[in-house]
Amino acid sequence: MSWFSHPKLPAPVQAYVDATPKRIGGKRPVEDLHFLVIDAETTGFNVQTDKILSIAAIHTEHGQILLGRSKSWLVFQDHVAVNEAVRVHGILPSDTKNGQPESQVMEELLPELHGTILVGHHVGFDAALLDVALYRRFGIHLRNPILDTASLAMQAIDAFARTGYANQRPPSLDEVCAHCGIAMMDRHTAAGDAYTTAELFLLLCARLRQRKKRAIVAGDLPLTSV
Amino acid sequence: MAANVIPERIAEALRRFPPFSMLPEADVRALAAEATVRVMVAGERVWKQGDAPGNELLFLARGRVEYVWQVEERSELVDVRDVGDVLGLTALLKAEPMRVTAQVVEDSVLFGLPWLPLKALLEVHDAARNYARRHLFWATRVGGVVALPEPTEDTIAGRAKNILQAHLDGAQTIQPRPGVNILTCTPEDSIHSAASLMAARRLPSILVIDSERRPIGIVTNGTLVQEVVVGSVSKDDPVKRIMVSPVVTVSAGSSATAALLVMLRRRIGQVCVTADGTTNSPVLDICSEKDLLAQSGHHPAGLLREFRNARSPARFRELCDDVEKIARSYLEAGVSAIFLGQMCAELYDEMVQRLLVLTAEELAEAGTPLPKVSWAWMSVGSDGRREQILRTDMDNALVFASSGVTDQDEQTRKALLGLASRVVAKLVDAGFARCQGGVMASNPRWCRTTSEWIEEMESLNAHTDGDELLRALVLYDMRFVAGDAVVADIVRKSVIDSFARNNELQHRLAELIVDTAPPLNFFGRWVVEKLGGRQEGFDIKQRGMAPLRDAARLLTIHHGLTQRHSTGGRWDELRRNVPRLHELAPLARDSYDVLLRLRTLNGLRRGDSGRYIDPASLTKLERAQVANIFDVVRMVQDSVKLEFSLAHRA
Repeated sequence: MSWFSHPKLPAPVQAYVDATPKRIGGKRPVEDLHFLVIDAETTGFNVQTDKILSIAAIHTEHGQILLGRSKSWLVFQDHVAVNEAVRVHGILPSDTKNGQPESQVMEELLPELHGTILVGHHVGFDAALLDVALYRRFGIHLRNPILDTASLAMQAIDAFARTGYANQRPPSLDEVCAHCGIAMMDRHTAAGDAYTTAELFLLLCARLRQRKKRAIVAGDLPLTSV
Repeated sequence: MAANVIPERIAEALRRFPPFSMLPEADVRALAAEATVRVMVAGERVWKQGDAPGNELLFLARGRVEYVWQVEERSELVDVRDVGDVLGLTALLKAEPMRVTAQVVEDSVLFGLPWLPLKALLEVHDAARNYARRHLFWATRVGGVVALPEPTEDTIAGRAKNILQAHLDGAQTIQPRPGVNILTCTPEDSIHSAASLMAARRLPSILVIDSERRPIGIVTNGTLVQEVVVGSVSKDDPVKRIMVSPVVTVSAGSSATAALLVMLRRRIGQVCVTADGTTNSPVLDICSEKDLLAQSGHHPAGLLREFRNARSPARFRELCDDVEKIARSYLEAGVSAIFLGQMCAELYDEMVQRLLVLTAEELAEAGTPLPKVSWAWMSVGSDGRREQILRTDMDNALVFASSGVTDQDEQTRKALLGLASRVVAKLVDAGFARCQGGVMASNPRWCRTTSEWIEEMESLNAHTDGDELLRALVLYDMRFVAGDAVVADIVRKSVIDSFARNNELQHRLAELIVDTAPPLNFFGRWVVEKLGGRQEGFDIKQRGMAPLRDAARLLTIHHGLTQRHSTGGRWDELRRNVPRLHELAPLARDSYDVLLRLRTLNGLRRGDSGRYIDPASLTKLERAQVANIFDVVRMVQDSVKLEFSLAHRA
């Protein structure tokens, strides 16, 4: 524990902090890293006001998705409006009543985050919401490094490579999957999208491996943080 | 925590393919919940030859993987794994290192399933275990030794219920025969006149009707015996004194099977068909057990009777269509094609006998009766082996006793050729195709005297040209159908002897069997060949059936087992008499059975001989089955190599 960390953290939170370095050494083989692929369905697209309705987390280690350890939660949120987002994921205000309170979901999710790199498609938004929710519950910020499969796709697949064109936007999950021939599983559910993203992530790593003609290391991945 | 849909999706994907389709859903879901998923791109290796098997069975959910075998400085493609296939089963089952390198050739998604629980499941579920066990056969491609399962005798018993099922499925409704002349009398007619009518028409019963043709009673043979012969009723009394009343009636259009059951339950020999099914409407027909049996879902026994009574070409054609219909429903119910072939042979033999009788009558009427010479009509080739289910190709031949005088023999031949060409024409009318190779009794080359046949067979040697050899093999599979069995036996003995004593000839046949290389597997529309090539469409007859058929013939010749005519029967004989083939023979027999069935169904679907199969039309299970069969073919070839000490060929 470093001297500037929060003095009186509860044990589970301290464990998370201890187990989760903010940076990953660039030379560490990707094969040895632990990734957590996440996807969240939300009430909308505003980090400050919108909330998580459901979230799924899938572990990948040694280049394999571990289904036995994958988890998903439905989150109870008060005052949910039927808006554009609801039309996409189809989680109705009545459904969220069956969910668990957000604080409890964060307690269950926290141990899953230990020492992982968070992976997702356009994961920045999901990670930001998660960061807010963690702060609400534990008063800490998300520490995990973040990897966006949209950025990874731009790096691993020529069709999505950066063009320098100012208005180029990162490819959507549908676009990348269509290009790679990945079948989407239960689109617009947290679990389905997380699984699809996990498969895509493994494929992109394999493509990168093939392109570099060597085992890839953390430094090959476009890692960021919240 | 919300229910996780992912394992469920994985389980759904698994359950579309064997062996998972043979396991309970809940167990597959439990496996899926613990699954791992990996993604590999073309050019990567799933494992290297010699790697340890790990603790997971891999399932190929997407993509394609090729097995490459490194042997003596070269590498050989030995199998292709396609969507739905499992990888690494052999190594896991036998707890041995990987025999081949698994090379990804298309981006692949692999599900890893925990091996220990899966192994436990396979131990409890027979169908899945048998599938897994057969899967092991492929290891023979890479020099593996496979323990063949002990043969069982369950093939016949296990299918009995399916035959019944086929009857019920094909069951028909009672159709009153239009214009049928029902034997009737009035209640006031004398018993004697009614009995005379029955005797004249040779019918077991007479129906007593009122003025509006409504049935009021029935008099049967049994009634006559009981009341008149044994009892004291005078034969001059009116029939109403002895008739059985009321009459049991069924309505037109009701189930023929149900009517049969009514008769069985009430212990009566016939039911009366009326318009409304009661005695208040006029009689339409009267059906005996036999009539109904013939109607209650084409029964072969009924057809046999029909063949015996048929006369017109149109009727023979109709009956042959019925045979094909039965064949289809039996095959679809999973009946062995070998048994079915035996059944069809009985029916077609009956028809040929009938056609020969009719034609002989025609010739006699035309003033050109057959010469008084012993002759025999024989089925040869596939027909001789009782494997002709479809009317694709007739194969027949004639033999007649030689008089010793050439001119007289030529005269006899001319007369018999006249008979044969008429019969062949009638067979063509009934829907049979003329043999492309001219193997027909109407061809002088296939209509010969006993001494001509013997001479030809005795001249066979290792240098006989291909056509002559083929001719001898076709003749080898001969079977007596009609005429004088003695002359047919003379030919049969001669052809068997000439093969049995000629080792060089057998050696040559062995080489022919070993020369056909069975393919490795199917991928999509493609057939994957050992040398890496692929081709579209697949000749199941030449590539799969021929080696099994020829090996059965050759091995029985070699071991002096000449009692049986059919490929199935020959393998049975080999299993019983040749200890070395005890395990392999039943596998070869079953494999031949499956191919014959596949080919026949394919032929029924496409309206041809069915020998060319589009691999894409096969289900996953059929493909797996056929790929297994290629392995059996390879084992049979190895066995022939061993028997005849042939050098190993690639």
